[in-house]
Amino acid sequence: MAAPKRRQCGTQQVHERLLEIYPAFRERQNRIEQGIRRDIERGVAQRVARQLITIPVVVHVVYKTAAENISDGQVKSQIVALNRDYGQKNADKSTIPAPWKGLAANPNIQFALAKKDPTGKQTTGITRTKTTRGSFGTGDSVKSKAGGGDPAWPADRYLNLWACTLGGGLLGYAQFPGGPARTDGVVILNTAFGTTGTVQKPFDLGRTATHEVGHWLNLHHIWGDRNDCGGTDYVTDTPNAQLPNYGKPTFPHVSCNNGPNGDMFMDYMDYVDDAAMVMFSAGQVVRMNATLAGPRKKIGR
Amino acid sequence: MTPIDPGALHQRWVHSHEEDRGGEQVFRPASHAFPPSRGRRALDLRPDGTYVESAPGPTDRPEEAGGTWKLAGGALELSASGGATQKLEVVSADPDRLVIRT
Repeated sequence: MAAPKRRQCGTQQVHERLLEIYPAFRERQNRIEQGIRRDIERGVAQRVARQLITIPVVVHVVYKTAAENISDGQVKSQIVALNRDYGQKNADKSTIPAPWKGLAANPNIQFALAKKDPTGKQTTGITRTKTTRGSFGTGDSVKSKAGGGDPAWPADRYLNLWACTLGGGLLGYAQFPGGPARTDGVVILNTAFGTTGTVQKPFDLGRTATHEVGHWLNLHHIWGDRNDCGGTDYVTDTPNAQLPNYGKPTFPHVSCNNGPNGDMFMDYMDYVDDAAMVMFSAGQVVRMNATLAGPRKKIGR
Repeated sequence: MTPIDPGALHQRWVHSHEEDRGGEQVFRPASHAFPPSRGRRALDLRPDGTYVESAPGPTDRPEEAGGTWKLAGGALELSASGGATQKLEVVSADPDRLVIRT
């Protein structure tokens, strides 16, 4: 019998199939990846890092019940949480294990609810849409009127966040740079949105948005989206890890021969509880800055 | 261990990661009341020998792939349509709880 081929998770197979079916998608992803490498080498990403970029945000609240129509206070608490984590002002960074304290970095990115809508009119940066749908899936229907949701504002000028009820117990999902503008942004379960109101433990510190906005800024999961240690997150200072970590792991959790320190499970791009994720690595910050210098260069400027 | 009845495996199993211990992963039927999660792996093992695996994708959206499955020597063998094979050691299999070792 032939030796079994390398293990492959479902995710990677589907991703590779999508890349085969849509050569344009592969081409665009490759171009973005090359651009990011070039901008990091030439120091463009580092120049962005020295500026404080404030990203205008629109929050689309889509609701059927009164409880799903989360308050302005709850929406604003999410912006505060994003600014805490993307400004490295989180007090719980004190829990970073000693070997990685020096590796945790400040993205120096801030967020503010939009003050002008796409037509130039004053706005609160919050839209409220009543829907007949009890819940939404991951097929992006929340991002269109026809789907019972609310359409995106222009993605080159705004970060679109949707707060709704998601089916299947999912907390949120995102879209990498380079995808269609009409679906660009982040969808978050309303009970994991912000830090007050209807939020529920253990996802009550606004970090589902921190994680999803990381994807929007082109960060990948620290386990590289394969279950065989063969994946990559395109960042060299996050140790190779086999699988997502959940809950509140105990340091160290070793996989993929990454001892003695193991998986960087306290990173925002793992799957742990809100209280257990506390840092971005220096490499991730460079990658986010390269994204703001490249595929998202218009936003906030 | 007691031989595993393949019939007991014919359902959609969802990773109940809250119950994992050590190197063992616990799966529950899809009807189980799962709390919210950033993502869960699921295995739909069908009586006709095919399976569909769902896992969190690179942006947390679940993605699916499939192939054929069989029980061989106390292990669940998943042969993906793409050619790769995964062997998952079955620790125990009950109608409401499947435990595998990775």
